[in-house]
Amino acid sequence: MTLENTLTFLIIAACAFYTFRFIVRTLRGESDCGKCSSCDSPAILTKNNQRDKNINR
Amino acid sequence: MKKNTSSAHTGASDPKRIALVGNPNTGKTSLFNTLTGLNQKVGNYPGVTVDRKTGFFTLQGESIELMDLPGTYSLAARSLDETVVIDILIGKQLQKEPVDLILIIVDASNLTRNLYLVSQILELNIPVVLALNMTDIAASKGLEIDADCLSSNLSVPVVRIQANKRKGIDELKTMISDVLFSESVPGKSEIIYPEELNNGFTQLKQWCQANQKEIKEVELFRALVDQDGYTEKRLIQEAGDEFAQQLISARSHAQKVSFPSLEAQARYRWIAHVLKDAVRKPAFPVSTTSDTLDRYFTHKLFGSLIFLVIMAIVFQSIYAWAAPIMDTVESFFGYLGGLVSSIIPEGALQSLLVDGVIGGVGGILVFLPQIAILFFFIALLEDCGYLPRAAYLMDRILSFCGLSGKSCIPLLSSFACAIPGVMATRTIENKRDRLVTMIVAPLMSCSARLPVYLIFIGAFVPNRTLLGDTLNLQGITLLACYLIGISVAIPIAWIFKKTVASDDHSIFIMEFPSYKLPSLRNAILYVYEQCREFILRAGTIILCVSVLVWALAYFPHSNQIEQKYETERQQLADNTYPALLTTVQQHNPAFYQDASTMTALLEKMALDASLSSLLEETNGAEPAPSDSLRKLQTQYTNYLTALNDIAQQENGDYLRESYLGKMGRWIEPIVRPMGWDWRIGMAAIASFPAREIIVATLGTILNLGDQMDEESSDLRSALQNTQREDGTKLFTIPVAFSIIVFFALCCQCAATLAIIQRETKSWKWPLFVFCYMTALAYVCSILTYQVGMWAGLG
Repeated sequence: MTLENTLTFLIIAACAFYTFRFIVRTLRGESDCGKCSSCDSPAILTKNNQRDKNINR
Repeated sequence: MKKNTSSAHTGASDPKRIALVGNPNTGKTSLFNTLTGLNQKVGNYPGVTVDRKTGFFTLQGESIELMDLPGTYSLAARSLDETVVIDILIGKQLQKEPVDLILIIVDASNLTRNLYLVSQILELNIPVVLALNMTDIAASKGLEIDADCLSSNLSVPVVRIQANKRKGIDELKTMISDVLFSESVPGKSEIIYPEELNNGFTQLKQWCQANQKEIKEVELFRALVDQDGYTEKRLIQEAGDEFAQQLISARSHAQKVSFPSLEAQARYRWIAHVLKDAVRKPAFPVSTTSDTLDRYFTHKLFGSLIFLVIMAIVFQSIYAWAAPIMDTVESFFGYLGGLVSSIIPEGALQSLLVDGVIGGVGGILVFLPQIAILFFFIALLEDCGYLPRAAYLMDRILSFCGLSGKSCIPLLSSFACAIPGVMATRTIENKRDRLVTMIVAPLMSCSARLPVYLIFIGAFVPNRTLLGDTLNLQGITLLACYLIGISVAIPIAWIFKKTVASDDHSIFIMEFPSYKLPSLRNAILYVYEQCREFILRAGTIILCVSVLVWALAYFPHSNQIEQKYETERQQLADNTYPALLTTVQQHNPAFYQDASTMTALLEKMALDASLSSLLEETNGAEPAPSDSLRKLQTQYTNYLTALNDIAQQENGDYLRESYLGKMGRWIEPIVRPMGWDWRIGMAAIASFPAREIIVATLGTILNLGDQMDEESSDLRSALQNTQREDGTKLFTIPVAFSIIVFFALCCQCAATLAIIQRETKSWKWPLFVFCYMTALAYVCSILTYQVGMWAGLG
């Protein structure tokens, strides 16, 4: 495999992984939707909840 | 004192906790941002905060946790956002102790109403600091407030502030510090309740003592007074049916007047007493500029007209102002594509970068200027206080379909993004109203739909002016696109109200904030945030999906196709070479006699500066070029055209035989009634995680299909020139509008579905929303295309 093909393959694999992760995390309400930083988006709330759990522990 | 963000505070010991409480639209979020240094969105309308937000700041070297709670008029919780407030204040949420201090922010121009909540909070027996905000507006109404007297009457520290101008913040911090780090005694409201209310309360208290039920007095009082309220329901769940019987018995003490009325009367008597010496009102009410403006802005006829004019101006500006910047961005990506092509040798990697990354992501970033302009206007309208008036006007329309007026703000929020819109439905007490609002909120045209509208309107709606030079056809069409969602949402909401939800109707009460000059700083910050998120999205999920679509459309990139077209190219060269060589030799026999192949000949032609300049001169040269040169020009142009045709056929074959092409064939029968071919169908499917991906995927597919060349280097021109396999144009006006309608009505946003799931705590409703919106989009898209064809627009 040439360097060019290896690079192409790696880029595609990384993009596939990120897209899959994005969809799963979004549907689980864990990912910041990225559309609106100012609202209390799922990510912000998840971060809050996670921090609360940490403090409780 | 220095500001800190939340990330720095995950230590083992719990920081002291302060709850920021107040009526809606009193400036809580502004104060929260000022104290914590965070940048939560501030809206000049009630209901911006529907859940707690947390930030940190330090006082006397100690970390302090500040919670911004949703605005509420009282502790009689009924809607979800109000339950958040009472739960945190009494320490029910997250099983934590109650907060260490309550920072109450009040609107100085509306003290009577604001002190109602204060009177309830003082009964919680928690130290309190009162921030007197909007004192400038109070002064403009002729109110003179004696803060010291108010402090003495309330027995709590009172500090004058102007949260939006950061005035009085240092004094407020000092006061918080004094109260928090000293053994201060919480303030008390000395409200005298009528005997029957006291008797009922005493009965409940005695029952709790006898049955060893540890219920806080404030909870007991709320359960007694707020019939069917949140506290009553929770306590019955915790203490059992016997407690429910006791409640009924205790409430029987009420004779002529109900307990809620008795409570309100007692509190307002106390408020009148507190304000008696502390506030001096003018002899006659002062009519403010806001009052005068509201006479027009909320007028049944003029108000609606003004609303439409404002919206028309906004959409006009998007097209009028953005064009020069868009051209620059387009040129930049064109240059970048050329640069990458010249550096990286032809092959998969070059195609990935040029067609996948630059063609895809560059295609969507072109719309950044238009998005920035739209958000700039939204920020101005929001900041000046116009949005609640727009909600008031919308209430009339919404009431036709039986939807609660409280749905206005969630639906208005959804025009920016459905996620805060769905979350804002927490302010709706009626569960079924809330559900219907959640179901129709994703129909509002969010900002992600804007690039889709912009590209198809830019490509297919003529840039023509109407009514003299006042209106632009493209701007009007964009406004119409925004109205699609709301005009469909109204009948849909009506149908859902008649089927899945009841006919219960709740009253819409909304407080109009005073108008104010919008802050340019806030607007610029808002636009910056939105643009940053857009670029971030383009650089992450849109980039990734573009690359995946490119990979599906590029591979397997069969060698057979390459060989087939290489043979064709060779044949073309063999056929053209002798004739071209003969003509060239007439021009410069010595120079070209050793050019034994077509490639060598073309290389020599390119090297020969005199021939190149002569070829250029033949284009419209005066006097007419010689016959031999004209012949050379024709032969050369024909050769290049034939070569280009071969390249297009080759790329078309690659695309057809690619994985994407094969998948596209399966779905083509489904999308054909909408006038689409498989390329649009596949781009639409790739856009289901997030709808704005369509622009990037179309860019990638058309790039690979060689639909973008020197003449149509931007996506808009490529769309105009793209052809079907039979040679007819793919994107006609009916096709463009069927795509717009599909994207206006389809639920292509995984984040919205996730937030509906979280709010309804069930996958049933997001699934329902996805199915009904997709079906609706499909049917309406077919209708749009068929009607367009029938009208002869195709």
